[in-house]
Amino acid sequence: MDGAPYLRKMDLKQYKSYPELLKALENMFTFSIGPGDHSERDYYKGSEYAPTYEDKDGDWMLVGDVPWNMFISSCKRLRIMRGQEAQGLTCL
Amino acid sequence: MNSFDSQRQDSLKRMRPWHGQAHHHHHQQQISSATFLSKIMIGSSPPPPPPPPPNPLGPSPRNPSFKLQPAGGGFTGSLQLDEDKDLVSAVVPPAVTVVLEGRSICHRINLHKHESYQSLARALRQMFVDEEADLSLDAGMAADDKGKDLDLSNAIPGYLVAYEDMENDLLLAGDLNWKDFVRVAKRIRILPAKLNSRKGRSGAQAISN
Repeated sequence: MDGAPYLRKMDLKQYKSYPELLKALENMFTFSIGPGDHSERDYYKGSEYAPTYEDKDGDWMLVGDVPWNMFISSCKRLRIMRGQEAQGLTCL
Repeated sequence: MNSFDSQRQDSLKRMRPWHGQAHHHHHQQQISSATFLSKIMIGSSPPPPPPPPPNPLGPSPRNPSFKLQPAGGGFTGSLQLDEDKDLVSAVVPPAVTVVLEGRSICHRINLHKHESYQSLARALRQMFVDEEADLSLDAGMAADDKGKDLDLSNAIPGYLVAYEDMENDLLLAGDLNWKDFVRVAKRIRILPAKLNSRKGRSGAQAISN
């Protein structure tokens, strides 16, 4: 999480879907991803934060692009971006 | 200092250039002789880990891990390092340095001597909190008193317990199960908890500025 003094470890297999994961992240880091029920892909819009992840190739992708099962097998790190970088991503 | 650490990690992955490394981590010297012995004693049964070396920073009588050690500090027999044939993963420092943010003198603790986060919390409490308390208070008694509801979050009031892992990330201790934690923790850092409050709210405030 950008701005946090330390990192956290999470087991992605605990969650069954993106909305669950995002809710857990919001609780863990006490921030808000966006309004709405997290079931739509456009919940990132209007939020200062964009959850991204680093996949096996080392690329940083926006969370939610690939099917959940593919995500949990390819995601190595999660990074909650905020600020300018996040705005750039959510505008896509 | 960062480059130093990465060098150390690189050397862990490649070979064992323990000799001639002018680091202050004297426990590495212990490991070098340990791994040398393990090459000879292949096939021996997994034993207790080697005891930590004498504290290079001077005697620390209140450190619980040293109280439990025999005076000689020699190896008790075969070593735990031959559990893994892979030398890279076998190089786990038996004792990790514990740094309390702001203090110049650190402590050492042997994670293998503890079986849970609560046990570690107790040891950290003895190490840092009971130091300020009555010096004549027996550490064993203090552990019984405070061990009832002790966990990492309240082990040292006003501080939270984080650790550096093999990738040099700083993580909050407690997310992993105990065995995984022991395997990956390279160093423990006790941070002031006021950093914690900056994390949530002020992160958002910074955006709105």
